[in-house]
Amino acid sequence: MYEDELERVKGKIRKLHHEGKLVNRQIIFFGVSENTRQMMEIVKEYSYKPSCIIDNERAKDGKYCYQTQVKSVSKLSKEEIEDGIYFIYSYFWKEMQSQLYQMGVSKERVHSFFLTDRTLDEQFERAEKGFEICEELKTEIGDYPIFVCPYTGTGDVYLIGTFWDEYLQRNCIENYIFLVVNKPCEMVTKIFDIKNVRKITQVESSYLMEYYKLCLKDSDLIILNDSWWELRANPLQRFRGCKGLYFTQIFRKFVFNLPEKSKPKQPKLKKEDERVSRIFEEAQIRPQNTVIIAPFSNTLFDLPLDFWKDIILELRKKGYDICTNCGSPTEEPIEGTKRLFFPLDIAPQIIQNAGYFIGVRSGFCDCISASKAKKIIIYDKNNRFFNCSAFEYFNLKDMQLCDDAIEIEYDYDYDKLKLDILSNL
Amino acid sequence: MIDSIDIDFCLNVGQANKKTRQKMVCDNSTFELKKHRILECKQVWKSVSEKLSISDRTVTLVLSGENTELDQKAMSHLKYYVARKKAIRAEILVCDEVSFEKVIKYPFDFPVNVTLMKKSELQAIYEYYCFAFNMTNITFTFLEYIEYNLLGRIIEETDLTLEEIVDLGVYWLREVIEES
Repeated sequence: MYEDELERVKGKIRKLHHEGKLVNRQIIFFGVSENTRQMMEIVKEYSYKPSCIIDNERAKDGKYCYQTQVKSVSKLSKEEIEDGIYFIYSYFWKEMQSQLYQMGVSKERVHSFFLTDRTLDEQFERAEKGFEICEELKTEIGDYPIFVCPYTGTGDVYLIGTFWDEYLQRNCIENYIFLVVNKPCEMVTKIFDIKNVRKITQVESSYLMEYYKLCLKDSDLIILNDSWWELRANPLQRFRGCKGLYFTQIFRKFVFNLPEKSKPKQPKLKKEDERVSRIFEEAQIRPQNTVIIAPFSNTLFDLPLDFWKDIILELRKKGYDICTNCGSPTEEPIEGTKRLFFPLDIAPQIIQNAGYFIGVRSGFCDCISASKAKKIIIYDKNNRFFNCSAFEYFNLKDMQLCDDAIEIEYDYDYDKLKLDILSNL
Repeated sequence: MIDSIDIDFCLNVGQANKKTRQKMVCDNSTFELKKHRILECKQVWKSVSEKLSISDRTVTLVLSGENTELDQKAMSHLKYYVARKKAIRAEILVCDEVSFEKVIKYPFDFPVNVTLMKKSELQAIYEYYCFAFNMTNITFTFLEYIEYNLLGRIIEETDLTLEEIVDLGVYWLREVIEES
């Protein structure tokens, strides 16, 4: 959820806390999602422990998300039905609520925070703010079309970058304004030399969406996403993973309207020897003998820490320097590894200089796909993305980003995964 | 047919935020026109939902009549949408006599009511749905209306079956239901 929406939900949970409604209760979250993760964070701030997450997707039953057990709705215990407090933030809140009521959960214990009460006047005000943002940008940069990347993930921006030149040429676009919603995405645009990039907040992005919904093509906005949840008339995301509609294919056909023969074009890596050397010297790591691991991603299911500790032990025996790729200067590295923090615009060069990369699939993997290095990328076999597995949707080979990555799917057999990784180094 | 909308009502609501209104009229009259359009659309939906007593336990299916096979499939899978939404009845809105007759003759095994309206009215409801947040139990089979709707292209340019199109794209079900 957007920052302002998050604040609203925080306020509602804070109120429940102050009213004592959460004390000694089992707090149950409905639906594995980023929104649920955000609600769990809020609850933890008040020292409550989430009891479990329930989900209607059978494949998620028995798994752990954000260190919390996921189970089917049908597996709710009598005690949970009779006493649990339920938190929902989902577009499907209405049917989730009904499902709980039908199971016998009383209405006062179901708290749905999904935004439903925004008035049209509020929406118009937000749209006007979007309009004003556009006007300011046009005054500053020029009266050009404005492209918006509303998503926070770097992988989307990277993929956009690989089609960007061809898209501009085919559409005879010489000048434009390009908006991203965070610093990492901004750094990715530098890899491709995308110009007139401005970073806006997610709230500002939501104003632009409102403006777009109101004025459509008259807004001069172009939304660079296969389908954004606020744009309800576009059903495309529901078909993700169906019959060849994977990440690259969907962006190529439906975001950029390019023919199938158009391939993502990797950027020519800039010479960044000085910046890269400085980072290696400061971390005291050796070029071509360093394994950079990326154990974290924005996906909901993480590999256990012990798994990484074992891998690190084996790598050390083999004589490698080992670093954890930390997404920020404050993110902690995995024990036994050095912290490595670097701007994303030189990520490909860093990995290329290190020589080795092992990481769970995230947007970072797209960003380093052009590196000439040994890249081992790990996928949770059970991680579904809409109508297919995450591997099917995001593997770098089928995305046509590179064919030299070693991409491994695992199914909770961590010993086998360890062997697979180590034998490929 | 639904009565024509009350434009005076729309204008009054549009005046609610005078400061905003004056500024935008000066800066961009298009913006104001769009606001008025949404208010008109809201009024169409308000009239329809009141007249048809549409409640939380009702799902509404709007058949555009633009692709008869798609509309037919949407009718045959409507029961799954009703089940997912925990509804007890359905309203179907159509804009041509042929579709109206087809719905009348279809052997639904749950309560269904059909209403014939102007296409422009159905489009107005769709525009309101696309802008506002508070309509959740309604779905549409428009192919290209409004401009970022890709449903028509998806049908034309992919290998998806009508079941897939309807279950995933129209009804947002969790899976495709293959009927024997």
